[in-house]
Amino acid sequence: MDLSAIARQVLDVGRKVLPMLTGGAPEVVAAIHSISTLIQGVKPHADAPTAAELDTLYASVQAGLLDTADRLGDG
Amino acid sequence: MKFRPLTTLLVAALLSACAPLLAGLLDSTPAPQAVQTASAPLANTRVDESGFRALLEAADATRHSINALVAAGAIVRNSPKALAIRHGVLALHDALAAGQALLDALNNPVITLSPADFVAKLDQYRSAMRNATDAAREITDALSGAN
Repeated sequence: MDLSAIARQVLDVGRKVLPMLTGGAPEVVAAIHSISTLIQGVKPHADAPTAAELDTLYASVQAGLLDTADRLGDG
Repeated sequence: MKFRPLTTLLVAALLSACAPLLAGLLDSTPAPQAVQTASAPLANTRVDESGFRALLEAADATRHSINALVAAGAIVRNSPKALAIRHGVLALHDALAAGQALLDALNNPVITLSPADFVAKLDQYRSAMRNATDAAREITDALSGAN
């Protein structure tokens, strides 16, 4: 079984169980959604990203990483 | 947000299980390569951006997982474990910033690099992507470590 198949199984369980357990906690829902997007993206994208799409994704992820760093501590 | 202890454990276990998978997915990301061979005119040569997009999506999924673990109380802010993860997150941020800057230079439609500069920057870009993968591995190691 390849890695993405295992990941899909983990996600299938998570997608069904976690929202029930957490009452749809936004952090958990966001995590499942983003991991799901990632695993679907393991297959080659049909179209190459445009420069604008890549710039938008880059800015969003970089801001998000700094936000996550703040949640983890002061350093 | 407070979850019941059992729920917290389940959330932490499931999302932690995803972390090594994310690292594996990062490892499987194709190495950056020029769309055309080096012997082709550099003015028409672009570096494939799909690997960089895959890295960005992996980084996004990883940070959402970490946020969920923090919200569930499975990672305590400012604990040694949290600070170790934070170190990896910032290293990932820096590696992606370097990668983006190099990708911009390599694929700039206006400025044509000399063949030597192109090859040098492509090597630097590959190095930045390796650094990003190393940072992701640092995060997953810290996630699986003790509190």
